[in-house]
Amino acid sequence: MIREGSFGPAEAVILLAISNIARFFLPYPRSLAEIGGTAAWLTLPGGLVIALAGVYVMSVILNKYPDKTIIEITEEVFGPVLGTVFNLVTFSFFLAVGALFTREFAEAMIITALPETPVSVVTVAFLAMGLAGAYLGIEALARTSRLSYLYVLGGIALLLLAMVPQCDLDNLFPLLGRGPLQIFGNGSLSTAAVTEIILAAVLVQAMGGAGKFRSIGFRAMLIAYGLGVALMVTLSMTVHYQSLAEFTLPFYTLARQIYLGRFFQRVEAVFVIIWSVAGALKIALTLYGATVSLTRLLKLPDYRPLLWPLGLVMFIISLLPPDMPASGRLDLIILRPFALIPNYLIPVLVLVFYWLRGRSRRAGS
Amino acid sequence: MPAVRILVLSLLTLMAVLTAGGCWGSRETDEVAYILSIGLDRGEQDRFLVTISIANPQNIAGAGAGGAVEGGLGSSVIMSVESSAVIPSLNLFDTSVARQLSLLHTKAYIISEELAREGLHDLLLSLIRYRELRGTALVLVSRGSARDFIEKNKLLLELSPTKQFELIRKLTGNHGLYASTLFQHFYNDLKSLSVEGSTPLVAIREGGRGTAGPASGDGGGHVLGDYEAGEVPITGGNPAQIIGNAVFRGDRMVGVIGGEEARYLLMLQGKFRWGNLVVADPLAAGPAVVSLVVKQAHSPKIRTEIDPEGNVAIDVDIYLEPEIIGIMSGIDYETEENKAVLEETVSFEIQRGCQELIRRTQEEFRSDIIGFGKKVKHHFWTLSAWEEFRWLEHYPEAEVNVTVHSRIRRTGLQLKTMPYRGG
Repeated sequence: MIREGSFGPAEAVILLAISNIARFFLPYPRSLAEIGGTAAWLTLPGGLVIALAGVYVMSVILNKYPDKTIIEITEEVFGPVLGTVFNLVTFSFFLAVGALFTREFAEAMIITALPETPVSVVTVAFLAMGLAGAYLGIEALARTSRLSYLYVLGGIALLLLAMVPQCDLDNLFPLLGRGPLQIFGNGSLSTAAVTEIILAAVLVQAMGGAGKFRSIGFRAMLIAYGLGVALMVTLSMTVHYQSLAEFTLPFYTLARQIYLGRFFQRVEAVFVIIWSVAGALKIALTLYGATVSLTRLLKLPDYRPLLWPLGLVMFIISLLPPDMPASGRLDLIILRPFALIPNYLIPVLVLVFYWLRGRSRRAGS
Repeated sequence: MPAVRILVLSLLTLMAVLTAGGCWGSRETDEVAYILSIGLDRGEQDRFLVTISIANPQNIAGAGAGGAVEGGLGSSVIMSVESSAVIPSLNLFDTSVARQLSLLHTKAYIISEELAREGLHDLLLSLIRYRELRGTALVLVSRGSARDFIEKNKLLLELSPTKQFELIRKLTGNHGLYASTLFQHFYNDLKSLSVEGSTPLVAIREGGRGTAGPASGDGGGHVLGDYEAGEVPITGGNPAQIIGNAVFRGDRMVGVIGGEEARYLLMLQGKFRWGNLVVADPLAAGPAVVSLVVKQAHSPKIRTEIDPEGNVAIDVDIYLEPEIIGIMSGIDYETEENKAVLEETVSFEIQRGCQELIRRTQEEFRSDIIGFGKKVKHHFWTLSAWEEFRWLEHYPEAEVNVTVHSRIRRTGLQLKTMPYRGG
């Protein structure tokens, strides 16, 4: 039995919400502008609906096995072979997210603040924070996020308020941007590609059990997507969608535009610190998720011995993309579609198999 | 054990400080030279003539002579080099400056009219990507050489050229004689299909008062600020002038509007804040004028319609609140009847000016610098439909009607004008 510690629903909600919004500090918003044009922000409500459905499906599964996490449930439903394959998919997903986010956050730091520092050094710094967080455990991470959320959310609120003088409502027109198919098809599928549903299902026991999963998941998604919509609306109102689609780090660019008189400008350094906090939390969480899912898969008593080797693997994978544009492309082309498998496809398959097995049992009896 | 733990923690902290603190890229402030403004002209040997004004911190901090001195001891040092690209040219400057040049505090990009007329897309594309460039810097177009403007721009009241550009950005709110444009907004406008760009116009006034260009407002006229940069008949002081705007179609400059038209531009855009205005006295027999300070009450109401043939009709309502600050004729404009006459005169004059500006943008420039397209696109649901409509091609044929509503709310420190009795 892994000792994970425990924390309350408030910590869980904040932890998952911060983890979810970390993607907005990276090049991700520019891809939404490319998909949706002036309606980039409209890709998020569709994604929210899908994410809420995902949370609901996952909560139904978890409620069938109240003492287990999704890793044990998958193995039980599909059997040891297929179950292990599916669990390895989940494990690989966490590892991929962690590695790619580490690289992207490291590149973001180099572009914004540390232009002459080698990428390996920045990556090591981020991974060191991630390792320390994961080593201390999910309870420590949850409580840290509860302590830091005021700064993260406060920073975002400050940014949005500071941009109000530069907002132009006309920039949101035409309202349907690149068209409903693009927005509610490609766009919503992209924004629904999250890490937090499967992560919460792996951490469900530490979060207070299956009974609280649905409420925690719903609240976390509503907060994260609400913030995402606010950020994307502000970005779209401030920057022309064509320019937005060009920027490497749209959120940073937005912070650089703050100008509230001669004495209140150049405040982007504050935001670099804020998203470093969010980045470190995200990396720690994915590393923890990868380690714990592998530990449960291998039925080991403790996850900590696996942290160091997996941290090293994550470090090596993070350095594999040759450059920043390649990391961005991998995020969009591989990681986003990949995220749909452990978060939505496998849970649906679990549910279908569970239902079919129950039906055949009833037919047999 | 606690001692070992403290040692390990201390080493970890030290490592974090050393590695994450940016030691690789650290630069002491006295190792860096900050470029305050960049001038861009067409080069003779190479593509660009890049002129930079570098802050001279010794003289800014102390009591040095204000203004720019070429290679000298003013608050800034001016240097020029010819290069095929702007940012890489900084390395060429480094060959004669001991410090590393930085654009982190660059407040203005001054582009010569010649270069602006050839197109700026290539130039801006190569600038916007650079991490040190700030989108909050001003973009100015210089009549004549940008190098001349930077060299002859004498700071008389400020020690720092940075402050001059910061104030230029802000000062338009006090008179509206140019529409201020930031780099990020100009770049956005270049990408937009609903609005074209415009930038403030700067120039050096050559000669004295007599050489200034003619203004349409003569001694008894009603126009204030109908000048372009370099033509305002001021003697003494800084010869650098900023008034009027350069008009762009796409990335090319296609014309110029004067200071008065810049005010109409701002009123139509809803960005006019405050400014002094002169109108011909409607009730006086002679060439008297009434001086007013005008502020825009709120954003204009813009209604647009598109008929099935694709013809666009635009109705604009502008709301102004003038305050009387001077009546030469001594006529009592505080009375209800006379006030209404004056309001009507103000509305008429501004309406006429706005219509004339719109006519010029449609017929002469064929460029929607006002941004009516931002409202017209509300009629479209998707970007593909909007792009197919090709607004910027429709704009010259659009029917635009402007109505100005003026309401004199205050009459300054006098509530009544008593008759002049002589001797």
